[in-house]
Amino acid sequence: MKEFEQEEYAYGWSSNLEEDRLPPGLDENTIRSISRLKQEPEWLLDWRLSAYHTWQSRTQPKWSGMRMPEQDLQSISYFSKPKKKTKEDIDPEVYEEFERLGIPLKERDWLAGVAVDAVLDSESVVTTHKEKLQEAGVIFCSISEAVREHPELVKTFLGSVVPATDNYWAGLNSAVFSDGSFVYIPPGVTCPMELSTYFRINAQGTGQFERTLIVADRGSRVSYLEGCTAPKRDENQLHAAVVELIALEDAEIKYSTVQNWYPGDAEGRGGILNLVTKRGRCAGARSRIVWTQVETGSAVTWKYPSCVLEGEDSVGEFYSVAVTRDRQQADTGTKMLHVGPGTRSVVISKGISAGASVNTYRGNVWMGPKAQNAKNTTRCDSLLIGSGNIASTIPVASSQNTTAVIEHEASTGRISDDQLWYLALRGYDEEQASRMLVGGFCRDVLKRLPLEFAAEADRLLSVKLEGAIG
Amino acid sequence: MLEIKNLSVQASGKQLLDNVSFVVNAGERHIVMGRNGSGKSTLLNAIMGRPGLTVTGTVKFGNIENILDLPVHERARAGIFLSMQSPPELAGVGNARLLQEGLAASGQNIDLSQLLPTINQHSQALGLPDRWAMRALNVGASGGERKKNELLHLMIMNPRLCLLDEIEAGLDVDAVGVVGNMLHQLTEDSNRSWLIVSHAPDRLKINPTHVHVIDRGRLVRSGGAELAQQIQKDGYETLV
Repeated sequence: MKEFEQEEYAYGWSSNLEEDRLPPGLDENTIRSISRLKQEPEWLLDWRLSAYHTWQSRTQPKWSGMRMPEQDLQSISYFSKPKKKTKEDIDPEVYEEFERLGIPLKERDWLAGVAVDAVLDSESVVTTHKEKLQEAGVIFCSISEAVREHPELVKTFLGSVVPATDNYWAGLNSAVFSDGSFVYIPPGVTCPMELSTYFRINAQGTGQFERTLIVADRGSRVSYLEGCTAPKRDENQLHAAVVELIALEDAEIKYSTVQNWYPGDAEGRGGILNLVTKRGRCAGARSRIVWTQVETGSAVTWKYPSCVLEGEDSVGEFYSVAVTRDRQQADTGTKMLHVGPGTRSVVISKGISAGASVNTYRGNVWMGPKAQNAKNTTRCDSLLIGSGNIASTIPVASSQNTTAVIEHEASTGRISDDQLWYLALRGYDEEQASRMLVGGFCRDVLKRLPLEFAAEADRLLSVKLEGAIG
Repeated sequence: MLEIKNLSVQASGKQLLDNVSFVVNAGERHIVMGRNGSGKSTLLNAIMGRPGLTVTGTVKFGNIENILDLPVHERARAGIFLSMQSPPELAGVGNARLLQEGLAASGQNIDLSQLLPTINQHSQALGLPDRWAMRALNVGASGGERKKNELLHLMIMNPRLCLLDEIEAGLDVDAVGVVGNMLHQLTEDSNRSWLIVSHAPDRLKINPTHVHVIDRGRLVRSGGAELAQQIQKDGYETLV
């Protein structure tokens, strides 16, 4: 049945921005240069170098079984930023670039209710609504600025959830990370607006290695959104990010992602390699971390937003929609590590695969010896469109506590002719019908997205079912 | 309103309908009867353009010379409604939203806040469960509820021509009563036209203006209400 096509990638343009960038290549000097360019303190340079030395002894991981050309990490530039960047003198083209993405950065046009940190290639260019957040005591800035202004916070938490030794790509990120966002919510504060970082890769021959660190102090709450796009280019571009979340006692962090990096063309040329380590630590009792993701882009996605549930009665949740078309490969899922007693986790994963794509859910639920009465519920549903694609569910569960409960459900389905016929009878053309059916399949996840993202996600699911009727 | 001319249908090499012609005028209620497998459902499906059927002939609808040239959704948007014999379930697709977007596709933009009270009122009249409008379409619904839901959609979409495919099938006695009463009211509306496949038109409380009998793909008899009476009394044997 049905060819399943994405509408033409809408963000494939690039701007001719003047950049300051390091020459391609990676060695100790590259790291020293990045650190010097960013005027970093000695401890951070040491941290980077130590990460680099551990990383050097490792090889690119192959266990996921994805087709991915070995990346020549000496051929890319590890630092690229738009020129002329002082606060008063931002290249108008930078504004324009974000305008076109629907992210107005000029103060008069700021999105109401959402504070945005805009990261272009290696640098944060603008953070909006800063004053309003400051009144509430919320710190929201680029991680470079946080290193300068709040070194003790960064020093305490950087690498505390994803250590530099964690895995190959996280190790590389720790050595060369350029920018990203930092959030700190003080005790008892509910962040007065949604926080959002928008990542855009513009420059050619670069990678993006951003680092996000969010700390929610006792009894605080925050909702954070992440969006991303990149130009169409024939080469693969590397995106190896690290996101760390820390929720202290009674704190709650909701982290939502709509990932729409350039997926490559129909034959699999080009596209972003999205190799990301995201992990949250429910450190305090009754803390809660919720990951919600809609993954529609990238040539390769390798990402497992996870929760380490240490605090008693803490809660971890993971809601995911992953759409793959053409030759895209997505290997995504979560780890729920139940350390403390009474911890609970919920996992809902919806995979939609079309074309010649590969879509894998990979999950790991672990109940530790102290996880008395802990509970996990996992539900994985796959929707197959066409016959040339592969959808797999690889759940791993292990328990060292007899009182802990793990529940797993999985299903695989197709869009039926009857469903398409039914919607056509109600006046739906093929595109409208597919959007309705795919949206319906993902409803359990989409309804958890903040309003600001729901419309965007809906649009990304707007796809064509070629020749479905007639 | 609807002019069916020399309609023939084939599927996988089999002749399902052979040269069927008749006319349905505005406000008329046509019942199509016939034994199982005679081609009754095929007639409705061919009019709407079900994939997998090879259709020849012409079907004129209103000002449209031949609706067979249009894709399915445009036939629906033109004002023809088909109630399916076995409606599917659509996981995660809310009933009200489905109707709202269906109406919008046909050029009627109605706010959900305006649409909901109407849907709720009709759902209640049909004896559907509470909060039916917000539930995913037919998920966990009984056969009877699915059929009532088709009638609900008909009432909301407000088509000019209604095609019903055995709406009484799968309904228990009480449900037939509710659906029958509703259909009785709806069919009294003099502007709307009806083409109804049914084994038991009087259980549905419809007073047919015309009755057609199809056998082995051919239209063998056409008549008035008395033809339906005769069939329900004596069966098809004497007719075909």
